[in-house]
Amino acid sequence: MSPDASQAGSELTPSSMESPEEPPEPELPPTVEDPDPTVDRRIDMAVAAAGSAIGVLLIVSSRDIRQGSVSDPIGSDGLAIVLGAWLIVGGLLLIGRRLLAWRRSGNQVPSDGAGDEFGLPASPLRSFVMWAAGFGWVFLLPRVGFMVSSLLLSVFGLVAMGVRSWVKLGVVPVVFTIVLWVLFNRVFGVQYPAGPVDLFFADLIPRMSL
Amino acid sequence: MDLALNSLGHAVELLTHPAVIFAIAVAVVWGACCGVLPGVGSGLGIGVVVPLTFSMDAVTAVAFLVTISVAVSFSNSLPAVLLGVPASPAAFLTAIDGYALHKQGKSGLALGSTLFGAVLGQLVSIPFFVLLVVPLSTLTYTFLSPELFALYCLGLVAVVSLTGKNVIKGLMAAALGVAISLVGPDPVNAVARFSFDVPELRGGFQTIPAVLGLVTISEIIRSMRQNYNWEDILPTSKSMARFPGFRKLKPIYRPVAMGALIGTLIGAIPGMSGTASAVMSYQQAKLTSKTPEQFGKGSIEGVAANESAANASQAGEMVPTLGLGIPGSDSMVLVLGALMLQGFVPGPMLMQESPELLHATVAGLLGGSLLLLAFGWPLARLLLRVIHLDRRVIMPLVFVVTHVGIYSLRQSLFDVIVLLGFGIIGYFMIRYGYSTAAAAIGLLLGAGFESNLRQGMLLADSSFWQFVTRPWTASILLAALALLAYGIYGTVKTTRRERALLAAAHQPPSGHTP
Repeated sequence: MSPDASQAGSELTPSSMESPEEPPEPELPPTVEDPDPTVDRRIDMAVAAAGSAIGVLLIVSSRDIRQGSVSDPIGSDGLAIVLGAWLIVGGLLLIGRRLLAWRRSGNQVPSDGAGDEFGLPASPLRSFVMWAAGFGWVFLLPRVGFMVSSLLLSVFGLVAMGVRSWVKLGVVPVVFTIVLWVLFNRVFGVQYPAGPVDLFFADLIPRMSL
Repeated sequence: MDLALNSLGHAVELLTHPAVIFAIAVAVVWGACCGVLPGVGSGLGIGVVVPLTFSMDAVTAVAFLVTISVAVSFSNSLPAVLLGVPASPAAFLTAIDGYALHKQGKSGLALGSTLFGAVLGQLVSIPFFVLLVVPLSTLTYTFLSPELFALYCLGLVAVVSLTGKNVIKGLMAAALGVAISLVGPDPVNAVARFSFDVPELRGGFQTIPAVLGLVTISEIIRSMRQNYNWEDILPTSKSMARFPGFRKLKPIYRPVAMGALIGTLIGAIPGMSGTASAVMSYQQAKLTSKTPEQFGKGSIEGVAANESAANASQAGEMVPTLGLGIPGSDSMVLVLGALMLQGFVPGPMLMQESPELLHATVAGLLGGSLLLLAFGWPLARLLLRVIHLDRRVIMPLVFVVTHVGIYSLRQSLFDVIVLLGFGIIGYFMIRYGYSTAAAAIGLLLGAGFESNLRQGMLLADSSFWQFVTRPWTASILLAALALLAYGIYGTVKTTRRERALLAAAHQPPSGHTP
């Protein structure tokens, strides 16, 4: 056994303690991401159509741009029209590609995008719920203050991610919110809409200057 | 040469300032924690803390952000060696050789090669970075709008390498980014465009909320599709070997030096990633090695060459970012966005007017590397605990921090709405193969692209021929065209090869009856 192996061996996992005379064949590392992700081609086409729709919107809206006093060959709307045209053509090409191969495959087709972690269930609903909760924070911040709105978003996020431990749900968001408030408000001097809890802590913790 | 030497001197001087040292130390710990977690790279690591930098002075902010990317690049190799899980694409080859060494009982040697390959590669790349970036700043006064337009073209062409598997989708993403940058006042006549009677849109979208929405929030939302704990998918190994000693690391010095050179040069080409430079360095080390048969089966030269190039490419990426105002990766987009937040205008004038940014960059690269050299080994022990943190807790908290940070920029709830709006657009882009990095680069460069094109046309008496035949303009546009063709060719070739490999993997072996 090489000195390295004997030295390190005592601290290593059992899998690394195999016979030194016949080192095991190195394996490719386990990849976390799904190596062969698929998507629903109908949604893929809808996304491409949305790209084309943005192109149409660009071209149509560029008609409303007022002409300024300085005239140049490109104009205020020139680039918008070119980009809009490219988005329309690109979207149509992508849709056309799917339509041409419509009969050759099912609705699940190889994805061009990032897949989920392999072998684990995924829920787009959770993503959308968290995204909507972000708007909830926007709604609540001016009404109940920084502390309560941030605490609620943290707890909501943990519950949505499946955390059920009362310690984690109770302690982590409270400590996290206070640390965040101290860092941004007391240290960096950022002003937030103040609720009753914020005012309580403002009396308790003085401002710090770096 | 004077400016180059001055930069190194000023950088060392900056490293005596307590605020800079503190920022670099915090950045090393933060970046290392982000790098060690699979899926949390420098893009997310920098994106979350960008809002914090608005309260720092520009020099400290730049040093802070640069150091984060140094630390991320170092630590994403640790799970590659010990768990066989590359935390970034550039660490893939490290995972093959490093993990093989770990399984052979040579974890100390693998981790020592990783640490020294990464840190020495970074240190060696610093002089190369300064020597490459300084000449660019001297071109400033020969560059007028047509030349600047050509540079913006070069930057936008860089998105081809970030397009992902589908070039059409990537170019659509870039076009979307440029289109977003059109919202707001026209650069020549200052007339309002695409504001749809929303008062907040009359001045255009704020860059940071839009870019963070596209790059960071989208990734967080996507990650929340799955609520597993990292620990559930990672092996339970928490082992950490002893440091192997410098004598055993002697074979890595040559591949480290070569890797640093390759990494800096390749990284300096807009759009070329750390992964490309790491692969090239690995191949070069194998070709010139006395023991090429060990590559792929546990070679410390392979690990060191890969790590050195991947880390040196961080310095290389800074060359177009600071020298030309062209970011070459998503993390550089965020660094440039942070500079804009501080009031700097990206482009060749940046270095000439604000040389302190160059000094701060060198200070970040140097300070981060020296700290890792001194404390990298004990830090690696701590990071092994970070790998096992509960992902279900971290993701929601990161989501909240991003909201708070963006609100803090201008105390504007509209900025948070922009963040969320672009976040959901970015989510669909990631899921369906439209590169968010390409869109972010388009968004960041779009305004300069349009204003220099239109002002350049006025300068050339509205003659397109006169505009494109200026010597520098023509040369840069030709280079951009060549890069575009090469980028499209490379992307299509890589995608076809990947699909062929997948198809072959799905075929039953020949002669095997089902």
